[in-house]
Amino acid sequence: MPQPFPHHPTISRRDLLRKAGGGFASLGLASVLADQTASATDNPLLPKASHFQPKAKRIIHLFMNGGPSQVDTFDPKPALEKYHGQRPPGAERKTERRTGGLFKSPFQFKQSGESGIPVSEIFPEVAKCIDDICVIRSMHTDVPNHEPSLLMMNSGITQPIRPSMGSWLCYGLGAENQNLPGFVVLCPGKPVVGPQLWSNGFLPGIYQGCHIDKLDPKHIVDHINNTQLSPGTQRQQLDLINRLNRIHLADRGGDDQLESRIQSLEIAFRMQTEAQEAFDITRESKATRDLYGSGQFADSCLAARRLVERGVRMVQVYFGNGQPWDDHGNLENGHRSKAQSSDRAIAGLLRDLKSRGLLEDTLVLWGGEFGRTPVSEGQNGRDHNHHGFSVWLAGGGVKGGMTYGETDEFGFAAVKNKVHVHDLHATLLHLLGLDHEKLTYRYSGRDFRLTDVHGKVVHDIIA
Amino acid sequence: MIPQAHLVGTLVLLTVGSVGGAPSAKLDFFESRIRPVLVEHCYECHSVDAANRGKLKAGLFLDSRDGMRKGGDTGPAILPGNAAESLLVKALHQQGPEMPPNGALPSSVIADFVGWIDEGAMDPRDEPPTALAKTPKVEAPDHWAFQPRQQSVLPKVSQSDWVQSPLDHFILHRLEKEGLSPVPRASARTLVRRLYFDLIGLPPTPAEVEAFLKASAVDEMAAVATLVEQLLDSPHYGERWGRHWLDVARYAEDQAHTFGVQKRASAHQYRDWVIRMLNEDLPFDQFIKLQLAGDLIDPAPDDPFRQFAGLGFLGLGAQYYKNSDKAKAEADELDDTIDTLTRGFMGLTVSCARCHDHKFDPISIEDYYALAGIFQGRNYAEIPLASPEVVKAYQADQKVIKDKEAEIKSVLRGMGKQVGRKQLSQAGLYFREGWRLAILKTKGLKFSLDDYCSQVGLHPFFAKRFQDFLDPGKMGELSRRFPELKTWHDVPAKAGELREPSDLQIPQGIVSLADQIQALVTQAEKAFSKVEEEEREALANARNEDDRLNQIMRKLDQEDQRLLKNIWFDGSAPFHVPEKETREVFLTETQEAQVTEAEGELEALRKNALPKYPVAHGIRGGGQAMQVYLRGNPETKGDWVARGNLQLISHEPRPSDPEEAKKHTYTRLDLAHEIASPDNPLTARVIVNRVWQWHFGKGLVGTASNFGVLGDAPSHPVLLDWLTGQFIENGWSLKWLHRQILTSATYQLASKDDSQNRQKDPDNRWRWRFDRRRLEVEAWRDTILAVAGTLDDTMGGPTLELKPGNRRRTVYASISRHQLNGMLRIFDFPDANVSAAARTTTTVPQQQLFVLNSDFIIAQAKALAKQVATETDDPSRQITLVYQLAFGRAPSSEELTVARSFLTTEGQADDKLSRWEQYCQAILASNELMYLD
Repeated sequence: MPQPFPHHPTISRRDLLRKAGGGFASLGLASVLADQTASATDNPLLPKASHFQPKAKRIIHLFMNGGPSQVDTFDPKPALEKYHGQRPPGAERKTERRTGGLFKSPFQFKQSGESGIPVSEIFPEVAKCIDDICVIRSMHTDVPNHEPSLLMMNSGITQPIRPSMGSWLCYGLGAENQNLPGFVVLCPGKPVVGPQLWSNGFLPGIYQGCHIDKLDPKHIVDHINNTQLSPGTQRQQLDLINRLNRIHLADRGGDDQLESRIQSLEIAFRMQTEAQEAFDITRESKATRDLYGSGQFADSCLAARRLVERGVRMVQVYFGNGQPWDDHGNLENGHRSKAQSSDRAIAGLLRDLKSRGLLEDTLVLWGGEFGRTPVSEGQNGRDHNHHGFSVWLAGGGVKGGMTYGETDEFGFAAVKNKVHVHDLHATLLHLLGLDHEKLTYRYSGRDFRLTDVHGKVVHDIIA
Repeated sequence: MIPQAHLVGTLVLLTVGSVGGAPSAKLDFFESRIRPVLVEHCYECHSVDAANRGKLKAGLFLDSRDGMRKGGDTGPAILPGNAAESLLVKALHQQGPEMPPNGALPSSVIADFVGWIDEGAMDPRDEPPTALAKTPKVEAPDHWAFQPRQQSVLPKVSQSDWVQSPLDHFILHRLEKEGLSPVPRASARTLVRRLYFDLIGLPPTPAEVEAFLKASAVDEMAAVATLVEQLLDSPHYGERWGRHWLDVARYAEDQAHTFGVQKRASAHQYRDWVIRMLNEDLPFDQFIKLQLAGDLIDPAPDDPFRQFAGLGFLGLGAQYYKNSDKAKAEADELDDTIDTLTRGFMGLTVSCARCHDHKFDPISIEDYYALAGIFQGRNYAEIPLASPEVVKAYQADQKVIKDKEAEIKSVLRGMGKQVGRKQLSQAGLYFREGWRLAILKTKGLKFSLDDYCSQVGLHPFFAKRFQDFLDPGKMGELSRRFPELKTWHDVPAKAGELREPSDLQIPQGIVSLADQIQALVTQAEKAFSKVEEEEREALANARNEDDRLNQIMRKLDQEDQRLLKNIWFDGSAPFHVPEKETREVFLTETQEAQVTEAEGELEALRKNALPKYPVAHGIRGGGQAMQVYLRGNPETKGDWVARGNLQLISHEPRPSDPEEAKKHTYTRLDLAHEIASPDNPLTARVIVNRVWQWHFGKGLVGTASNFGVLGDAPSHPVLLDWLTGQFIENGWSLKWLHRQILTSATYQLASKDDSQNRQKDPDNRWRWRFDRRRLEVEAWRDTILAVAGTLDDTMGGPTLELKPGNRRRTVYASISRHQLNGMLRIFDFPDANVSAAARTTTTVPQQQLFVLNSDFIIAQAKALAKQVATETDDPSRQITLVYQLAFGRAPSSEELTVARSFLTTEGQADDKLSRWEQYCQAILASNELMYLD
């Protein structure tokens, strides 16, 4: 396997142990892991040191697939009201479909928090958290179609063969908890494109996002559920396998690869209970569950918190199946109802993370694969818009209560302090202590990066 | 209307900085208003300094006068005197490339640039501030892999009795030089397993083990030689070694993306071709030619499979989503071809030269487009694997079926038109009642349409069509078809309580419009009948009823035609009857019989149709000179490049004149010949090294698909060249190569450790032992099936998903680029989107979860337990049998004790597996089953 990059020399063995053992308390297992760090050269999930001191250790990506409209959420444009129905000259920018005149937002905006950042009325609870949030209003991407843009947001390229951001993070940083996958994707059903969005690409298969369709603890990881044997019997069987393997190993006078398989079997055994427990949100108190509200998205947000708490590197929470935010028609109802079913959960997640002291090193990203046009499509919808859109970040070393960048007067295109998706990726990696130009993987005779040959860290938003 | 300035306020020239007339004033203006902006906002990406840092964008230099005027990939940045047409100004206005990338400059600054350019763009910068660094380009290809092979004699060794095969001289020579001594030879028991797994990917049966041990006791060398021949002759050899090649060929049946691409149903033909060609020991140079240009080689009509199915190497390549950026997607597809064939056959990373000259190897961007041109314009095609006669007969047969289908359709169309024609006299009635029904629908009154129709004498089918046709929501459609009815929807309905349909009064306005339309229709129908009568004789030639009615229609005057088309003839006219409804609702008894008979004939034709011949996925055509895509961008084209091979390989110069370049031919077959030539310094070395790697776990060159400057140097360069020379002399025979390697002492070393050797050579670079290694997922899964006695060793054919019931060899499993099977993925099967040089090996708990809990393993454990139980009742003999099946040996006394103690301990009541099944699962889960000594 190609070497990722030189390991940080100052990381202590104790650190390594603590991280490796993050998921379990038993001393016996900790010693297993201690051996493992010493010998298992081919375990790609061991924690690795970052390039420099990180601000964040993990990411939760609340992915509003389909593309929410910036001018109806976090980027108010009073000029739309004034020129409603008129066709501005810049509207000839290429988007996916035919559009009409300017279309004012059906929603009111309210100055929120101490920072006074305006937030759409459809996100009343998120608005209360705005002082922890940095809204980037000048995002842009390459094309106005879902498939390539979903790929761009997730893997930094519009064609589907590259590793996704979560895979890159696990490759760069390893996993903090060996009993759980390092990259979890909570997505009911399948978004457009599907598995390519959390693909490991050419990175080793273990870095692929673990896709969870339903939050059923018994089916979260492939083959996690032992349906055949009582736990006691399975332990006996495991001891038998270990015994056979030890005899085999002794005959061969030791061998790292044989040894590491013996240990990974032990970890797999623990994972069965550990992972199921991690995904089981019914173990949360009523107060906590109330904080998030109910529904599939709320449950996913809560599960995301449980996962990052246990050391999962990246959790992506997809808003829903298909491309739910894609309101080409009847945007008012569409956006209102989707906001309604996620507002409380998002705010709940931010508050919960904060009260547990997790927000400071957990980065939360909210946004879609692109935005929507300020001009109408049909009677009352909006078309895709890659020229300008908003995402927001919270926690994880990002300044709260600020906006960054601007779109033009109508919110069509980013014009000031523009942030391409590559720049967003560079910034996210930077916050996790990784230099996006150094996080490379040699494949097909050249070094690949998440940001390809692009990407600039947006330093102004970093606390 | 909004003033332009609202959206692009920057377009308005505010206070244009006056440039002034005197040269010194112009210079001042440049120095104070232009240069600082360029330095601050542009030089980072558009300067010699940026180029030296590898950060130059779009080939554009803005740090010298010439640089600005010459421009970059998209042409001159400025046109002195013409700011409006200057790309730089457009970019500053955020049109086209939006510059600077992080947001527009203040409009006053842009105005300065406009003024400066319009005034002639006075620019004192003769030279850029930094000098362009020389890019170190390998001029003379002095890298070892680009040199011809070295001739050599077998090196001298001191322990000459260790040598079994000529290649051992090279290995031992080096070991002796490094002060290493080879470990002892592997035991016969180890060797027999090693050979079986290595050559056919399956374990030997207990009987096969015993047979080899017996032979080996007599003569070790002869026993190995005989076994090697036997295994090379096994059809399973092709299954095992074909899969190695399929990694290189990034074989898969589908595409990475979701939209619009279907699984290629005949992908398996290529896989089966590879297996068969390896079993036949097709010389490797031929193997290359058939994959690149099978269609251009003299036809072999008796064996189209052999000739064409290898084109799957090209034909199963990547296809990308083309909706958003077609040119880029097509360029990406070409790149997939070039990348796979250059790394696959020649160990060169030519793809790196797609955007710029290769940074390390002597491969220019022109080389890349010379190669790309060979494939430009090719089509992905399904190539018949049958003789032309068979194809022709099939097509003729299909035509008969299609004609019959068309005939039935046109008969039904004619019948349907006659049905509609009969209603024309009722047009007024249908319009009136249609109005009522359409309004009632908007009012939401619930009633039975059928009952109402029989009351007022309407056919429910047409009533429904008129109801839809007259829907108030479709008023545009109505007045488009009948301008005379444009006031139709203006007529108000009278208010009043509605209990039944007749409560809704039809207003006088509607009645009179309906009457008016009826009069026009009647008149048109009369004209129609008149033509029908007068032209009876000419119309007798009509192909069928539908055709006859169409001919009449064409003879009417325009006004009548319009009317009849809109009410009767065309697909959405209210009196049109679609074929389906004609068939189901309107046929008379005679018509019914006529249609049924024709349908019977069609059914018989379909039933007796010739079966579709098999096809292979390949490509057809291709070969157009291309222009260089500057920086890989298809939108910015550079010089024309003649088709041809890399200059590194082919020393014949390519014509540089654009017209000559376009005309110069160089086909896929030319390319195949040059790749598969003994004079090509790379091809034969690359495959010899791959074969070495597949036998030993690592190659003489560690980077099997990169023999370039950045690849690893060979550990044994002389051996590689000697073996390659011999390989070519022996007709590029892979089986010859296997024999050389497998009968060597080097191959037959034990995998034992030796601490002295390890200290000197921990990576076993000099091959003092055989490297223990994990079986690939295919061999491991196949072994589990074989040990459990459930393996179905049927060869070839369409792929099957790897579901628990699938007992075929893993090489026949479906391989997806979009979503690779979970088991394959977790066990390090390579990503089939790109050519794979080697398997990675990771050891992770998810693999062990599969071992502990998957249905597949559970089923095989049960099968193994059952198999053993039917053989014998004696527990000790059962345990021994398990060991023989799984590991080709008897258990040690310790292993017997461990097994007995496990088997005699009670499990728990709710366990679903018996103690024996649990035990068998442990055997299948063991390291010994997964690692090869």
